[in-house]
Amino acid sequence: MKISRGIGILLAGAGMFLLGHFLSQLVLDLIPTINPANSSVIEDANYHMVSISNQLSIISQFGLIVIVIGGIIFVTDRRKKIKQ
Amino acid sequence: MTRILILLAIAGILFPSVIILSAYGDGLASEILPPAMIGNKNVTLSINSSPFLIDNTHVGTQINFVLQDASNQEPFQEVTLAVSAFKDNQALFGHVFMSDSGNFLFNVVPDNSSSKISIDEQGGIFPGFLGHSGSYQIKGPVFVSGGLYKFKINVLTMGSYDNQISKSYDAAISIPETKNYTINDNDDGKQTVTIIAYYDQIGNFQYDSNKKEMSFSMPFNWSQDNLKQVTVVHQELKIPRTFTNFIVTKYNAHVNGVELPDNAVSIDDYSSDEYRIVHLILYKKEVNDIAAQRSSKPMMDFTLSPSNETAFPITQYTRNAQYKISLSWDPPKIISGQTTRFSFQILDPYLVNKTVGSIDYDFSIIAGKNGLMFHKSGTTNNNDTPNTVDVNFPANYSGPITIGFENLNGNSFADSEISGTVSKPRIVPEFPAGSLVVTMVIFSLAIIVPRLARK
Repeated sequence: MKISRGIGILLAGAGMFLLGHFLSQLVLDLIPTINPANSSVIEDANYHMVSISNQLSIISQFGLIVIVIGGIIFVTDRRKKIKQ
Repeated sequence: MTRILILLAIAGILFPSVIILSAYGDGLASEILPPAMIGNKNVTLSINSSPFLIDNTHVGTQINFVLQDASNQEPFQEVTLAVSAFKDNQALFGHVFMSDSGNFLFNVVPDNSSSKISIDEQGGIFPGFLGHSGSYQIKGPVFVSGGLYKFKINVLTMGSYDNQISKSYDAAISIPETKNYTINDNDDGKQTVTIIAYYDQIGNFQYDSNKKEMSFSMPFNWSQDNLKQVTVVHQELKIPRTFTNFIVTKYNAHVNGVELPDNAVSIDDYSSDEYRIVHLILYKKEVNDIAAQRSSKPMMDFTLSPSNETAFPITQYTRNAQYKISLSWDPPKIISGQTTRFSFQILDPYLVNKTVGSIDYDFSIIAGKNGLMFHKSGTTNNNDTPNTVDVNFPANYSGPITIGFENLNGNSFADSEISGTVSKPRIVPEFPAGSLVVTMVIFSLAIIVPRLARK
């Protein structure tokens, strides 16, 4: 099965968007915040996991841009095909 | 064990650990924690909870956190907080919250039907995708009861989500709780006393009908850290006006055996027609005085009983705050069937002990709620001497009365009501005839029996 490059980019963008968003939320939910003894290990884990969540969130935002690019390429390719 | 210690040591070296500074907060519905420096910024955390007063039928609570610049009260942008909540030293929930505006709003929906706590970010189809509103819904078995809720708030980012910092705040919010207690008094029968606890949950309520004393307990942390931060501990007692033994002009109140000063006990007869409201308000000084003599247990044991003394004169503002009324009566205990002399002055509310001169007044005594017992219209004295009214109370009435001042200087809004109680006279036989007869019989027998015995 052959798919056009526009659809491929569009699907990749959708994957980035969904995966990035849900993984970002998942990491946020998994952060161990209950730290009554002020353990520095947990503090550091908080910072690193927030960083990871932020990066995953950026990936999901890039996914949206990739979806738009995929859409443009799909439309352009289709027009080219029709002209030919 | 050694391996764990080595791992912890390596983790401590590898991770950029910083010294965690802490700020403490006490339990109020609203407070701004003391400012602290983060980098070159003077930062404070503001905490609010609403509704302020929660009764037993409340359906939700909103908690608001704002991380703001202490110099201009502007919230910081792109703030990440790791918040964990505790009650009675048990963790309730912990979660990381993000807000682009630095303003956090938690809609807490208490739900006892589920044991799981769900925390959801609100706003749009994919909340948190294009930004964080800071609005979250927390649903589950949390905030189902009043009391002191402690929060550990760790600020992870501030100014930008990439700007990671370390600042820890210990804060607390008191959710007031209303509880009703039914007691049985020897004289006044069944009465329902309502207590609104504004600091932490109270318990162990007891009433001693012989000593006429109410007592209850509240958990309290007597550590120096907590004492530094506690600004006020407040209990509100609603006493029915039919509970005549407790409708007095002065109360004896103790906490852990330490007598509270008069200014820590305030009486509100104005807010409710059915209840007298007694506020026990302990400011920092009173709490520290008790701390100096406290026992080792982490509690505050309150007792409240009517005082035998009278706190005259009773002063009260009129409803429109135009005048201040100073009232006393003699004898201090109003007895049915006897005459009581009421002395009063109408004072300027803004000047100390300055009467307002000659004005018209309506003075009335109302039995219970609406049974007019006495009424007099008159004009106050032009000098500072008190005005007097003699009232002969009927012999067939005892119970709560309302002493009303109305239409002061012709203004229908210038009125005030003060509560009192008419007591039954104590019937003490003037001459102990019974004991005299017994004594006479014994003496007579003591004389007659030996004489008869000789014969």
